[in-house]
Amino acid sequence: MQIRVSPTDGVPIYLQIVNQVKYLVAAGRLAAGEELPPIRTLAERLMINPNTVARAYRELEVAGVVIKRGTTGTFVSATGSPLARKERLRILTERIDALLAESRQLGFASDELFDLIRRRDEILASPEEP
Amino acid sequence: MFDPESVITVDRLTRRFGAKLALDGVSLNVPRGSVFGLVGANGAGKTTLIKHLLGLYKPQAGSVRVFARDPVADPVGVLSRIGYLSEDNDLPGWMRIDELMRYTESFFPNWDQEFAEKLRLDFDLDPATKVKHLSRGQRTRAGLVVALAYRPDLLVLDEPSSGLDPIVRRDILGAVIRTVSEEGRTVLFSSHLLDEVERVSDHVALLVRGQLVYAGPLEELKAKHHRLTVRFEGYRPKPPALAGALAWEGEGPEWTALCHGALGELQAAAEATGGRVVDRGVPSLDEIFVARAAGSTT
Amino acid sequence: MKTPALAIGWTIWRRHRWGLIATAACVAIAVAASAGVRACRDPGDALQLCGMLVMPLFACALYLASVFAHGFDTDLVTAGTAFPSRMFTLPVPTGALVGWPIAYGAAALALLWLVIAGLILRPAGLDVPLWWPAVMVAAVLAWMQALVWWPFGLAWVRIVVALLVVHLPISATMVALKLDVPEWAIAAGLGVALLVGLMAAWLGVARARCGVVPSWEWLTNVGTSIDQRARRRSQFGSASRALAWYERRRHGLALPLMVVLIVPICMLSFFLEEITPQMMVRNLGLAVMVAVFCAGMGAGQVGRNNTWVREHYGLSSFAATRPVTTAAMVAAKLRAAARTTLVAWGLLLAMVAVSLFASGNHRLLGSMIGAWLEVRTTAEVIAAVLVAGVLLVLFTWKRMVESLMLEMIGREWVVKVMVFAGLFLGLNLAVLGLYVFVHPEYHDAVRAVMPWVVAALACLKLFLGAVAIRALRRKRLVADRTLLILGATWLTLFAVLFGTLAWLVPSDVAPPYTLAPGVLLLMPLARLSAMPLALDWNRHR
Repeated sequence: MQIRVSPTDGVPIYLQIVNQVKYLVAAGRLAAGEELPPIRTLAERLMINPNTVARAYRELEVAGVVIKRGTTGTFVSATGSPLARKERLRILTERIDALLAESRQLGFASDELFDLIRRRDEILASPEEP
Repeated sequence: MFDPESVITVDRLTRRFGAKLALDGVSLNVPRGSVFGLVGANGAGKTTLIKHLLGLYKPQAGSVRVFARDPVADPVGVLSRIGYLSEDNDLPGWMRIDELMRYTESFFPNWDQEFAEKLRLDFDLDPATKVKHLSRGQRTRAGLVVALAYRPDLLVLDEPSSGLDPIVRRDILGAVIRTVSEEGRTVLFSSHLLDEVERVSDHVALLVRGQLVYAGPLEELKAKHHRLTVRFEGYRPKPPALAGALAWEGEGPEWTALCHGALGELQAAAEATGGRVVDRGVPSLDEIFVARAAGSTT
Repeated sequence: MKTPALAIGWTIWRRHRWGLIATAACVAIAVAASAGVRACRDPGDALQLCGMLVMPLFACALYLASVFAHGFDTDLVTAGTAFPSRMFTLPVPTGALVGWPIAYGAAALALLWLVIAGLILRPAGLDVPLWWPAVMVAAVLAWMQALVWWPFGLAWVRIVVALLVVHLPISATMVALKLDVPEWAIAAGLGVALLVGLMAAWLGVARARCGVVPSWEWLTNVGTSIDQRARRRSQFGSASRALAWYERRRHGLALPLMVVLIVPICMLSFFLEEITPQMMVRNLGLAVMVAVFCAGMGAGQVGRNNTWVREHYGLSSFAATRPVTTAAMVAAKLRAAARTTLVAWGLLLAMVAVSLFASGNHRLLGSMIGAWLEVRTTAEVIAAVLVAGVLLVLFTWKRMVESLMLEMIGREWVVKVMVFAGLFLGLNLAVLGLYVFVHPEYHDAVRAVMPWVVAALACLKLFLGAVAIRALRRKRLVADRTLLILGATWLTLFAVLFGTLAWLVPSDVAPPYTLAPGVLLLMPLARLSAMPLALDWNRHR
């Protein structure tokens, strides 16, 4: 499980872990039923306080992303789809917001933007390209 | 006053060296099971405070209790439960690694020989080498082995990472994390490498010129500090006066302040000075410390 | 500061200005005192007194030599060079770095000699030569500096070479004087010696500056292989054993080493000449005094603690954070000192026995003992030998342990004041003692006063001991039960020694009321009781 944290990010470390786990689940890189690393191992790997990892796992459990099975470990929950879709929508919304802001900044109207999107979609969908 | 949940209780500790006031009425509590980061500039009093905890200094005013005992009156009771890595790591140069381990073993009944061997192998220490022939990083590792091998209830590290390469620093942080992962064990370490403190601590204390500026959970500290960027119409040569602002930086129409207080009030006050709040963020421990340390001079 | 010469001179002056001023004051006082003595006393008396006044000035000469050899800035028992290595990165050629301290030192010592000879000794009537002794002291200083600054690669090689080499200019001069060599030739020879010293110092510092230090690999390889075979496999068993081992490893080699090095020199005369009973007694006495003297000379201090280097004061935090009581630490030091003393004495007796048997003088010793047995009963002789042996070993241990006291106090100003005060007092007492010894008219008065002095000192010792013990109890450094056991042991030992001595020594030489305080003064009490207090003061600052 590839997770990176940065203490100076501005976002609390536990929240970074929560977000990244959610992203990985949504992107399919964490399969349903897959085990997350034990708290201690992840803390050592990331060089952070184990309590922070424990808090992140608690948040993920409350959000339903993972299930803690006693002392066996923490596993990704099987109920993936609705949450995954919600997560995917959120990611996309963020990107679209950024795109809209930037296009406005560069001086393009919304109609021009939509035309551009449609043209790019056609180009990418067609297989031949000189 | 003496909280049973605290491993260390310091009450209005004061210490002078000649005319210089090294510690000025410092009071703090280190809860059991926490990683406590002691932060301060060079000469702020971190090492002095730590030496009081070990009984190496007698309090001139105030009191120190570790495990509810006085380290000066009961050195055996306190020191037998502490693992200590000193700032200048003064292991005797003539001792070999295996002699050092055997020597330390005889003082601590909890010594775990297998664990000590595993640590020694992990740290790649040759038992026949004398301490004076080791590099600085290796010496720190040797000090860590003999501080960790008996699983002390309290691990005290005085500037463990100063002057060391990143690999040794990882070893040290790893040791800190492993220690606190085991039930009830506490770590106190002093550092001016604030990114390390931020990663690993759950409580911090800020010492500025012998005075304790803040002591408490790291989260609270970060929750109370904000970075606000205010944009003004027109050019402002100097930043406005804002209650709660610790440090300003910027120029012209845009100024960024590091503030202390509740976010809503700060934003309102910033708007009241005539500007618009265009950005806000959470400052890092580094920025908070620099702002607070500089602020105390005024 | 325009030139390196001035800069180096200024550094030395600034660092040692108080010591140099004190030295100059001592010399001035000696000169004034000698002038006063010359005015008040008859010439023969004045001559002797002036001679005695000169003795403390030798301490000044030694101090000056240390100052100019940079002896106060570095660790003299280091393996490499004792020249302060921070000076190597200055943009100054090695010749200047070496030459100026030697020049200043030679000038200072020569000046000291000229003042002593010209202003104290010559006016008193002693016709000492002026010029070649000045060159001689300069040459000795240059050799000392060369030795201290040469990078040997092994710490003790410096000491061995020093013992072998430093006396050469002086002994060569003595031989030349005996052979009636003319003064100019002696002065020329010493000038050559001075140049040789200068060259050696220059070469040594140049090598040290480039890092050319002999590595003695072959020796360290041998040492490592022996070391590995003798590796400690078993555990220590208890904290007190571990502490005692630590103390032994730090200090334990010094006294036996000194005994092994110096006693054979004392035993040389057994092989070289015909021995009379007086010479037998003198040689044996000398050998025995070596052990006692070296123990007190800080045999406990050789090693990591150089009294003159500031950073070595106080306990390292490694030693101070051992989870043991202060009393246990003191007990470990005492145990280690006891073992070292026994080892040293064992070596001493072995070497004496071997040299006696090898030189055939054991027959003479046997006949001396036979003569003694005719005068006294066998029981008395055996008891006398045993008591003497016990007293000597105990005294050696006591002096060794008390020399550890300075290390235990660990506060720089206290240690320095105590060392200087001790030296000052010791030298003055020596001068006074010599004066009395030389003037028989004072002997009776001294003999009458002596018992009172001894009794007074014994009372003072008892008082100080009581104060120390009371402080120990109040601070709860030592358990009451331990104090009782130790007290009982002490009293038993005192009773046995006093009883045996009272039986052996006839009462006209030393009546019991003098003997008891005398034995009290010999036994360790005040400083021994104060040790846990000193270590506690050091450990918890």
